Amino acid sequence: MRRYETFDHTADIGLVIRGQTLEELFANAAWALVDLTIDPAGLEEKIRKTVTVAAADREALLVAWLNQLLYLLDTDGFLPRGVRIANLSDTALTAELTGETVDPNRHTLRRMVKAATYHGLSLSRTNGLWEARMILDL
Amino acid sequence: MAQPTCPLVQLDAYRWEIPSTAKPGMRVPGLIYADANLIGQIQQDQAVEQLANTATLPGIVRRAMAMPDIHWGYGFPIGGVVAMRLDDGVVSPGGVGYDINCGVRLLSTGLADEEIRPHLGALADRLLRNVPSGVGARGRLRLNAAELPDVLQAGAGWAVRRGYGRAEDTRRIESVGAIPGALPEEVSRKAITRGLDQLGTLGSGNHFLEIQRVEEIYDPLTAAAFGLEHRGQVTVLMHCGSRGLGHQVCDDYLEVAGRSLSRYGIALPDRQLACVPIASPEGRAYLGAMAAAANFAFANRQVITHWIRESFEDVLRRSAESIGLDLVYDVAHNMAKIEEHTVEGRSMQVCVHRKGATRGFPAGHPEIPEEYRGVGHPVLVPGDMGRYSYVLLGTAVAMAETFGSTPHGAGRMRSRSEAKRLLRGVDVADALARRGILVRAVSRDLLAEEASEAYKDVADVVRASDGAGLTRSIARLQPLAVVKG
Repeated sequence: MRRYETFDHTADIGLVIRGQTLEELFANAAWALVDLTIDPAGLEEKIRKTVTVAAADREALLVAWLNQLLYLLDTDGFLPRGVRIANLSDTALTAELTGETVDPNRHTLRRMVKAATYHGLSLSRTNGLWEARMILDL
Repeated sequence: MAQPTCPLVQLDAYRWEIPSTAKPGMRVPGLIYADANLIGQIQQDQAVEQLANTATLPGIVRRAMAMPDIHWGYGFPIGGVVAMRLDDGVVSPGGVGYDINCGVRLLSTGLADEEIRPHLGALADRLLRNVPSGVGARGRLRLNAAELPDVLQAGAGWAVRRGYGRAEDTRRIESVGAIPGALPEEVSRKAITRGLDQLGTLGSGNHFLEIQRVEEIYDPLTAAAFGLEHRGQVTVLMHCGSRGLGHQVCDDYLEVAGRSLSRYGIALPDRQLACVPIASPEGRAYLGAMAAAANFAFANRQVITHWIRESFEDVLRRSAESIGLDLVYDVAHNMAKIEEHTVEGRSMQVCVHRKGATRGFPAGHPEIPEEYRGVGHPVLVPGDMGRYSYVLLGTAVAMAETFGSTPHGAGRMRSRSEAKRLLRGVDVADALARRGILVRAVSRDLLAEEASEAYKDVADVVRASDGAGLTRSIARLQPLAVVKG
């Protein structure tokens, strides 16, 4: 199972994210965001952070989760390499992140994602596998 | 690729209607401005259906419209123009989008292209260094949380007062560089925090700085009024917006709107269209926060203008004033604005959403700076980095039909991955250099996604817009050097 795949969207980018569990899907969504932003190979696990996110429902929680990671990138320059979903309900999650501050001199930069959107958003389980589809604004 | 789901009825060579029966819940018809060639491309993705979706929004006036550069976005299609009544209409944070007041600013110079060619490499390097861009970029200006409300209130005027620009700059910015009615107190602490060190940063994706030459002048009198005098004259174009601060405002109010939908009895075909009544506490708060974010974007482009002037001074060893670098105009293309328009013969205020569409008020409009009032204000339509950009004028037809709205760019034709597949093994920077266009980019990965091959030819968009009578071509600008995040 690949952690994520992209699908074509004219202006932006579509993501299909998968996981054996919902926790794994949320961790894989974070990985997808990081992988689109920089080459994660150069990213070290130097800084530890704990984040908590809340939203109205499970789909919105996925959007809020990725937008919270973009907030950390904007304010602290932080991107996670390691993600552990410590607590997850339909409307809240707590995650432990290990990563570092992006450094254009050391990291291979890819692109800035503006936001995760609600357009065409879905999150469901089929044949024991969780799958989400979403579109990121670039 | 999704198949078209909405039927189109051709009204004339440049107008295609989506009948209001095409989709359940449509309150008005949709109308796409395009020619036969463009309409084929437009029907390849979900843009037409997205336009039909916007026609379901409460309080919509006249029609849901789209410019010839319409393409699939998230929520509203890019290129969408939707106006709402103030008493029973809605404002849609998702419709305006994440990059509030993403826009374009053009500067003119007194330089000729042959004078600048020997310095292009040094200029592009200096611009890349002086205007931070790309992932993780921090601005050279660090503000504290106490200063930011002034920026959000005064916009470009704040930057000029702080020494970033000339007193006369703000006159030549849409809404004089500050949307009235900004409510900084309705901007969240998270949004403020994201904005603290992002003033004077370009961003990434399709944002750019470009040194150009005037390639063609179609209307010498109007071009001269804009300071565009002759072929070969050097200009500078920038494209950027409100950065993380604007993204956070959108995100915050999508949540507010999502929560209040049922309270206001609004049902939507797409969650991203989340909206609130204009005449509600949430609507007023969003419009105030949106205006604040828009003003941050005006200030951002103003600070960048200052650093462009400094970069030219450093490299050419002449004062910016002697080089020119005068502001031609600054227009927004992601915004919802309360404007006065004539609807069914009577003047009324409406909230015009322009999602990837440019305001193009014609001659005589009171909101145009005095020196342009006799001709209309410039409409700036960037193309892709390998071809050209246009300076247009909005017309009385646009005023009457599209609430004074005009196109905003080339419009993407290929997705990013398609463009990358097509250009596998091609060094885009090298290919452009061979055609005399210098590129400096923080991320080379991004170049293929932004190459000409990913975009429609903006000349086709302009031809359709001029053909429909919405705009008139004034001049065409050709890139000499491109700086990207």
